[in-house]
Amino acid sequence: MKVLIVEDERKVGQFIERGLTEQSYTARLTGSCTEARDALAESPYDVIVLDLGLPDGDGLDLLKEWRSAGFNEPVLILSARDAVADRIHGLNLGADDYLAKPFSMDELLARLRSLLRRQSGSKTTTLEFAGIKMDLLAREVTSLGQRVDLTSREFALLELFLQNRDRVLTRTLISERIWEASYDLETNLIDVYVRRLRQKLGATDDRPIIHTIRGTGYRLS
Amino acid sequence: MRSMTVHLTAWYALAVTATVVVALGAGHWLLKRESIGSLGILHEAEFREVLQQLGGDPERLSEADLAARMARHSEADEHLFFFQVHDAAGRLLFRSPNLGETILPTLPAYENPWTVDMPLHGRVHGSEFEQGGLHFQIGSRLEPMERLLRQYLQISLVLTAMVAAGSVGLGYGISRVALNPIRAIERTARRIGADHLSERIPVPPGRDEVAKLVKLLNAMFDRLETSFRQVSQFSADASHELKTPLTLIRLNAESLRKQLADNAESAVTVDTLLEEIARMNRIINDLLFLAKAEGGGITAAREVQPTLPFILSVAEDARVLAEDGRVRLEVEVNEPVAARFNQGLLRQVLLNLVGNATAVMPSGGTVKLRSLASNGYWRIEVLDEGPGLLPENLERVFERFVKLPRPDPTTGHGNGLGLAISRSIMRLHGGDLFAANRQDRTGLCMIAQLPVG
Repeated sequence: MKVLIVEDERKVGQFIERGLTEQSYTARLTGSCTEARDALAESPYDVIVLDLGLPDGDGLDLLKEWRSAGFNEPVLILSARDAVADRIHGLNLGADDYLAKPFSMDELLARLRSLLRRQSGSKTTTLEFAGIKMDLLAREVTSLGQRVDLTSREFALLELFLQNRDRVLTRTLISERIWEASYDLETNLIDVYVRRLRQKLGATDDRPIIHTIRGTGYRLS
Repeated sequence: MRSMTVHLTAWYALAVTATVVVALGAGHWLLKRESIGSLGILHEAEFREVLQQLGGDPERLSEADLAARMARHSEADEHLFFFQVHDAAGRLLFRSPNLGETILPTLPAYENPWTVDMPLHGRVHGSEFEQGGLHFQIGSRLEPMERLLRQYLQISLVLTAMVAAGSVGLGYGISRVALNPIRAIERTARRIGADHLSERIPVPPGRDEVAKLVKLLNAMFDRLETSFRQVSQFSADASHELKTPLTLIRLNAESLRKQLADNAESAVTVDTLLEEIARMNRIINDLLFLAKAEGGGITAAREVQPTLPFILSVAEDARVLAEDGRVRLEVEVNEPVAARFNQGLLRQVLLNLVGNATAVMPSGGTVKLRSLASNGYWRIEVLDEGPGLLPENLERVFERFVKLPRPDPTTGHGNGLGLAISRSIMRLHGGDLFAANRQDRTGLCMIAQLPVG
């Protein structure tokens, strides 16, 4: 898998490059629109991580240029701008995902994986993990053979966890996916939902199912 | 704008009608004066004719001859004139038959000509002449002239009514046309918001007041656009400058966290660090949001939509929040309406309010979420059963970084920006957010409202 990183902050770019290499991706770091254009002209990439504020132009213009030139691989926007308008604009221009800085490396990896998986188009109808069975068609959940009644939000949340097992899900990602919230005022709504989910699944201290990762989010493992 | 049209129309109609009334009144006065004046001239001419009839020297005639000649003359003009002749001693020599029983009055010499009201003949206008010791009186009835004046008045009244009606219509048309440029200004100015900042009001041709006003307004919009851009630019710059180092700190801390996985004590330290980074990021986001909202630089898509499904969906999350704080949530929806809002932003406001309400409640209490329509506004109230606020704090809670003590200090987890942001979101929607103490019991009532439709 080849990833093109377009990020003008050298140190941030190097960090991403290292993180990707550790996960055995082939990563190439570029720091400007010109460099990115050249890199893409040289060889094809499977996914692009694109920063918006570049020294010689706007990442959104670059994205527009690629899409109109017929480049169809997934693009993940990485930006310090968190404005709703920027996010919507980026997605309208054909970006596949949008991650706000400061981000967590785990989350970036999770999103890239999900983009690449979306490409391969695998689709399952049942999810299973640690005694929890989820039937996506019948919308039924059992835990250790016991039927569990979930509200639609709880169902969506558990589905998100099951599809991203062993990966950290940040609060931002959860609130985006479940509530489609673009701006998150501090409420502990997500914590409350996770707590309820644990209760309904019969989690104990020995079998917490969903782990809290302080300062970041949650992980199912 | 409507009342301005009405005002202009009323003033125009009033001015036109008043002018017509004054002109017709003046005409009436002039007509009356001229008619009476011409009667005097007529009398003089008649007197000269009478003298001719009398041979130019009436003194020489015998009384009988004079009476006979006068009778002949007066017969010819009996529809027009009354005659009376006295000698120097005041003896009556002749009185025209058309006077009948009545007599022309003998008035003091200075009242010449005169007008008197006479039985049978109505008002009579008379002139007096002296000739060779004889005293001649010639009178005419004023009735024909008065009839003319009455007709003039009637016609004037009809004319005035027509002019009044016509000028209302004309005035309305003129003021519509005159106010058209202003209406155009209004339409454009309404459109110019954060999302159409570069639009300008087209300058009408000419150098009149409206053109000047438009130029002035456009100059104002230029300044506004510049300051909007500056706010956006500042926000983008600040965002970039603050978040790049924060990104590096976070990435490094996470990497450190993995390396320290075996060392429990150090791992806890790094976890705390990560939590503080998250908190700092929140504060930066909140402050940038406030800066942009107050600079008018936020363009959140707002759609007109029914409020009921939205409230019910918010209530689902709000109930979860409340139950977690061992508090009941009661939802009350009166008169569902439609309003223009951004779901994501408004949801945050309401959850923020319910979260705050839950934090100040004793367990077992009830938080009420109430949606109602009132005076063209959609009003959402969140009522708690906490201690309420001192009157001087009802406004202060919306200031940035103001954190008022809560009954249970462990529930306070905010950064003191939540209510400031909630209020700026409501104002972004053309609405508002304010606090009031409950009337029915102790507790606080938070009122979020925005225009209906």
